[in-house]
Amino acid sequence: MTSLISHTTIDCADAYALSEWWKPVLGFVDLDGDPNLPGHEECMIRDPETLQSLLLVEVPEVKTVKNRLHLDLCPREGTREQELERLQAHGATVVADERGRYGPGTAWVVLADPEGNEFCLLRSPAEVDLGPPLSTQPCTTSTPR
Amino acid sequence: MTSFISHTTIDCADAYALSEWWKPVLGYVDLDGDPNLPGHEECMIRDPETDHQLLFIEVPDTKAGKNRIHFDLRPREGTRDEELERLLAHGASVVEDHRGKYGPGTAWVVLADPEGNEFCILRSQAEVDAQQ
Repeated sequence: MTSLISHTTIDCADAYALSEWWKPVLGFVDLDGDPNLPGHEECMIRDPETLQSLLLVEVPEVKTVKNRLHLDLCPREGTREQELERLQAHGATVVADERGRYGPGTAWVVLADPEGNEFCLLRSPAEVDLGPPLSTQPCTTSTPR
Repeated sequence: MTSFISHTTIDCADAYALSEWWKPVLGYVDLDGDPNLPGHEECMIRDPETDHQLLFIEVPDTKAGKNRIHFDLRPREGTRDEELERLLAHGASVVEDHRGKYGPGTAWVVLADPEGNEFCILRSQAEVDAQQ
């Protein structure tokens, strides 16, 4: 007997705004027949193919420290650089730029969403296939030791 | 153009111990040909069916306050209460018990893993369907 991860919950100040922000980042959509609307305190979005789901939930407390859990993203198409440009134009901010940490072209960029939630942008699978294996390049939002 | 979630990273004090703790919770396994070993500072585990992955990474900073991101679990088989019993026997601790919040049998229990990371155990999909 085991459990499955039904969804990942992200505490936030504005669930609707943050869910709308993440939808085009990941290509996620609202649940069928249960659209998110401004003012909703809980907004679920999901991958239309895998049904992987994120639930944005409004909480009274504000973010004070670096999140201990974060999402690691890979571009579905194109390169890390192209996706970085798209995400920055979409409002993501750069927290730490680790590109090149393991040699030319390697590693990742730590970004933050509009509420400061850290996430990493890694290379696309195609880029990884052309470079060092991903397993030698764990992503961390912490300062390298 | 969009991105997909490659994996979710969990900062921790002991990556190997915490990855070993979560494996039987979720039925996850080590990566093929890349077993996690004591002392490894980064330990990836994955769902053998969906390939969903979690990466445990050791960090110098300690957990401060409630995590703003958490996993919500549903039992693959059996009931929420049976799974709760199993998780408690496995070393999870109860943070908040919300069962019954929306009427008899509803809602969830907030638990914490051995490093204090909060997660929720919800009803199984069969339990939810039976109530509707």
